[in-house]
Amino acid sequence: MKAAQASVVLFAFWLVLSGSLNLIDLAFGLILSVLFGVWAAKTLWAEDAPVLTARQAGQFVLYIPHLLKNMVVSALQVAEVVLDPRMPIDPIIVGHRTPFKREVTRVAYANSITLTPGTLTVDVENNTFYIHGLAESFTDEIASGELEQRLMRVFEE
Amino acid sequence: MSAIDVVSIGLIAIGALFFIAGSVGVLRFPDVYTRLHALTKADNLGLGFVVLGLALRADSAVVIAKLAVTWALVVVAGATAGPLVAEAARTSGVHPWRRSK
Repeated sequence: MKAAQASVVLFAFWLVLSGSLNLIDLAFGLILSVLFGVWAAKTLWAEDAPVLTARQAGQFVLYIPHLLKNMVVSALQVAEVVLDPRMPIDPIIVGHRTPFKREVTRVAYANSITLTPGTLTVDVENNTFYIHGLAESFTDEIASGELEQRLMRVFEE
Repeated sequence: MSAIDVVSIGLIAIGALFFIAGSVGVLRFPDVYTRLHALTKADNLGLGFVVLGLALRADSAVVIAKLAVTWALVVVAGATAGPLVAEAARTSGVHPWRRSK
């Protein structure tokens, strides 16, 4: 079941990238998608597959605009710091404990932190995330727990 | 030059500016962790603008979809590879740069 879901996603990806409905292209795509789908289900997702319910998938779509906004703010902020002659940074690494139960939430959280202004995930040990911030003001935002609440809503409710 | 050309060139130029900012960051920032900030953040938006500029010139919806998927792939790959590099640096004992007080 996991393998079938992964294969469908991979095949859709193949269709977009190949942009071709030629029989040979379709056959190749299908074979590769199934092979990688089976491999992913057996190894990457052996214990905890990132399968979402319909409601979670909807929540995930609603999360995307928030992520895009963060990405734009991040890029502007880092460009501003880089181009400032004084380069106003005061880096810090902080640990932050989270209550996540699923692997997919941890992956999404680590990636989201990296796309959030001024913060970068450097390590994950169990449920503690070590976060490098360009300054303390950026890691304060992670410590407030707003981002983890959002992701709990998407993946764990 | 049509209006679409002008907008497209403008978007691609803005994208290039973010790429330049990211590269300047790699040169100016003091250690591996801060450099990853420049790479994982500025380049995402830079490529986003380049992709928008190119999408205006695309001749079919398939090409636009391809551009969008390429951008999404780069963003996810960057957000995944950045922490992996940082983790490798941390486990091999690279201390983060601190501003001396």
